[in-house]
Amino acid sequence: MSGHGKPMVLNRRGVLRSGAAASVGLFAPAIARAAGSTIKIGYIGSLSGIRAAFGETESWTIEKIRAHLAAGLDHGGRHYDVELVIRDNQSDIARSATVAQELVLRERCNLVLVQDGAGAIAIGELADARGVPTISTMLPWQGWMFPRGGNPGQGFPYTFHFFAGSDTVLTNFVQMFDMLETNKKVGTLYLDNPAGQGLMHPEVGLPAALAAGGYQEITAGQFQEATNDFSAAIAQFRDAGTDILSGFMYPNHFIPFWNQAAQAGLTPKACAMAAAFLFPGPLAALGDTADGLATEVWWTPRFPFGSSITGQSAAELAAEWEAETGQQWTQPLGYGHALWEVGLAAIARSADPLDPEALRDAIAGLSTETVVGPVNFAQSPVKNVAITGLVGGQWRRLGGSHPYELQVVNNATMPAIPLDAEMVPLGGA
Amino acid sequence: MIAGLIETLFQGITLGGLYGMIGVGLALNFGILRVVNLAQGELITIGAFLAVGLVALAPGLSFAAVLVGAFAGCALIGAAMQAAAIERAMAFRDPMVPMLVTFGLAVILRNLLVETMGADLRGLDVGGLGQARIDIAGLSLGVLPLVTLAIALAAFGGLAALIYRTAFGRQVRALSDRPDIAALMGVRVRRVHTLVAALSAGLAAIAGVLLAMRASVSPFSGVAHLLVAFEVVVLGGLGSIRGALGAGMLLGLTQVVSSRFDGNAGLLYVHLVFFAVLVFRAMTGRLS
Repeated sequence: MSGHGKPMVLNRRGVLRSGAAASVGLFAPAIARAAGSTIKIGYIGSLSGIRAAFGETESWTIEKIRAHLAAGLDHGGRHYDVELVIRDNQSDIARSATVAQELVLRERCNLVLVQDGAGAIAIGELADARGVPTISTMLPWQGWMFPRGGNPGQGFPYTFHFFAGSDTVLTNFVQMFDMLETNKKVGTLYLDNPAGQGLMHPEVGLPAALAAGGYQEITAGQFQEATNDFSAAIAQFRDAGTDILSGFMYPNHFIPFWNQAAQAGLTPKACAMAAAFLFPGPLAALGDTADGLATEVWWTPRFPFGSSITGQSAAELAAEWEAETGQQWTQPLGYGHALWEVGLAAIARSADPLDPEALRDAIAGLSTETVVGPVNFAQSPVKNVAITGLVGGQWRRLGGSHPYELQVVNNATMPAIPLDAEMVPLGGA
Repeated sequence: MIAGLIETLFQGITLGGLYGMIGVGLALNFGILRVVNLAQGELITIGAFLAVGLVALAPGLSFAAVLVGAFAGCALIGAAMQAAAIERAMAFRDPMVPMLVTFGLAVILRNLLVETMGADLRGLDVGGLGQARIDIAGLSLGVLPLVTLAIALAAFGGLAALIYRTAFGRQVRALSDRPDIAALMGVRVRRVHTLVAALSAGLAAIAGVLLAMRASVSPFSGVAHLLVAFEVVVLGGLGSIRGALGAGMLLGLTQVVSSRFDGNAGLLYVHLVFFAVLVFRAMTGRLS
């Protein structure tokens, strides 16, 4: 494509690198499914519902992208209009299936971008069967691949995913616990959903990671989504004298859990709960007691990467969000933006963006730089998955403009990310 | 061991107070109006959302004012529903008709809530109260559950006083026992019906506020609340207010105690206890 004259507005590096592959693709049969030269990009995101916090920045990101694509795209000497079909799955599996059918069968999108795990799993089979290239993110790749019955050697026909692995989350948890002086007793509990089940897997989940690190796990097992009473688990942890709490739950579980733990007099030295406090919002409801909660970190404004769409650095992107919305940045700001970067980079290196096979091949061979770091499908050990990096951080009360700031305290799993602070016990140093 | 047992009982009783609160509005509605109000779960949710909305609009508002505001808002909705739709449906002799009307109202309310508020989960920020505790003789008791229980008991006490100690309560009881004779004696039937519906919706709002303080509610959580409310009403003896409190306690204790043995059971054992009591009643011939 680089040989076809017009410079791409998309990702130049990706385009240059893909020149050779694309010119081969040119001779592939081009079956345009949409009439005229309009590229239809579908989008599924959790704009509301239980994972609404994951989608908080999405509407803003989509508006930026809409403005960027308003004039359409020039590709291979042709001009394409771009139509965005945005759907909220309300974080719900049944609703995800409905919107997936809408995007694939009724709207007949050329490419579908999915920002939510339930949405990605719901659309997976349909998109593979109907040949609609789909890129998803915001879910550890194991949680996307295995529940769908896939395996790393085989992959899927048309569906792709980029995100960090849950194994890296666990590595970070243990590495952060290692930084503190504790009795090495860890109380765990897990939400009974696919992500929670994956995390409590005895061989590849948290139990194995803790055992390998020399920690003793005292587990309260799983709990139901609608649970609002954690007194039994808390009593079990208190009786066992656990210094550390871990597991998997959402903020609406963590707030009653943490409150009830304090009511019962349970005072751990460290707490790292996957998915529970990725976001600053719920922390404000916990007052002073959230100082030192540890979490996996997929992205912060201090990540030394930039956007291939706007040219902004991570810090500039976060600053723009904060200036325009008055809200603190959240981690999905980076990944929500990167999802469009990857989608547009794939279109840019596709021989024909309207041909599903050409677009599928373009994604499979993609290696691009985004605001969250390198996204590399081409040289990935796992088919259809680009594994991105992840570090460990702590929420700290620093007295700045926001109640809590996320500080990276462990970068052993992604040394390119600078450290912000040292790990401290709960309640601050 | 003993301390652990007492703490478990404490958690169960405070949760039971909340469950009793969830059920009492339905019990009142059924006991007096003979209408199974399937919109009760939605009224609970709306009460919680009203409280969250009030706090967002006027952050300095005292907790009592928020509670009163939610009560009043829900009571208005309940009265409007009764006057506009349910009262007319009650003219049919078939009790299915008003029940279906409330089912329709529930669907409308739920979707209105999703449309206007979105599908997000909301909770009521109670600040330091959420984590405060009292230590007595080696026991750690949460202040928030105590406050919840106190509000629930106060609401039950107030309701009992209203029904058994006032002139309005006498009219309500008369209407419940012999509606035809009560009407002959000059009780303004429609007015009392509307007031009872408002009261039961207001009680739902209090339950909603207590729920939002403890955890969080979404526009879709009404159905789950309705299920608990149903079990409370049926266990407590249809329409019995005191029975509703006892049944709530039984269900709360069941949930907390069972979670000690099976953490992932959720409400399973609560439903099993409900089922067992029903079977026992059927065998002894005391179903209603």
